[in-house]
Amino acid sequence: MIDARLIAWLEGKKVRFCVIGGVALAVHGFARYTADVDLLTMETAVLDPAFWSGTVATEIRVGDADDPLAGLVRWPGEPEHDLLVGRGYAMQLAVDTAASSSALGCPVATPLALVLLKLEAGGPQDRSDILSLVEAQRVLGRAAWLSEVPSHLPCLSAEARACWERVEADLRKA
Amino acid sequence: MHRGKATDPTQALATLERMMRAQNGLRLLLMQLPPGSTLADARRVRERIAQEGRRRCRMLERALGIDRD
Repeated sequence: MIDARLIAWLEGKKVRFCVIGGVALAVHGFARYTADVDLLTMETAVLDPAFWSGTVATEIRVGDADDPLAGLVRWPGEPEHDLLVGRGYAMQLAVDTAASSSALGCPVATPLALVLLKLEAGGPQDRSDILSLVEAQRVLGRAAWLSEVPSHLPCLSAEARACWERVEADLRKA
Repeated sequence: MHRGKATDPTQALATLERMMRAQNGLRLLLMQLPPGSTLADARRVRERIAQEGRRRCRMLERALGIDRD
């Protein structure tokens, strides 16, 4: 599912990264359709075209100063892979706390980190993903991490905190 | 909101792999697009719909033709 050449290239260059998005949700028990594979790193060195010399990486985009992302590298294939270059607390935490997945052979963001990332993204699909991830983790008896979310809120944006209020209300109804 | 069915992580990954290979999500969306549209067009529309509801990111939105100004 994840292109082994991309993983090997990043590991060879000592770039710390993790899987996020729909693939990471599935690793934690919630499968929903996704068209691509999303990876996250905090290392801006990957935005230098020279970093990818000799590979198939085709597109590098650099984020604006106030964008939540520092950039993106697109790795073609089926499925397409996006290596997102992050900024901010939630993305740093996702990379720092990612755990290796034997199923994927690379680090995957934890459920807690995925929730913080989705609170920062703040879209309807993101809120739905949080509810479904929590539901899956509760069924699996692994949702103790949910109680840790409030302690991270002061480090998130005002928009993410507002998003959590909506999600929390939905979780109470569930 | 659509709620997914919780499954064992191994099953969930296998399900995801099947869904990604079949590309049914994109194929369903493609049926709503003008004749001659491709799966790449459907992927772009899907990305656009997702991004429009999200926190602003000019880098992503420029490429998707989203202008919130």
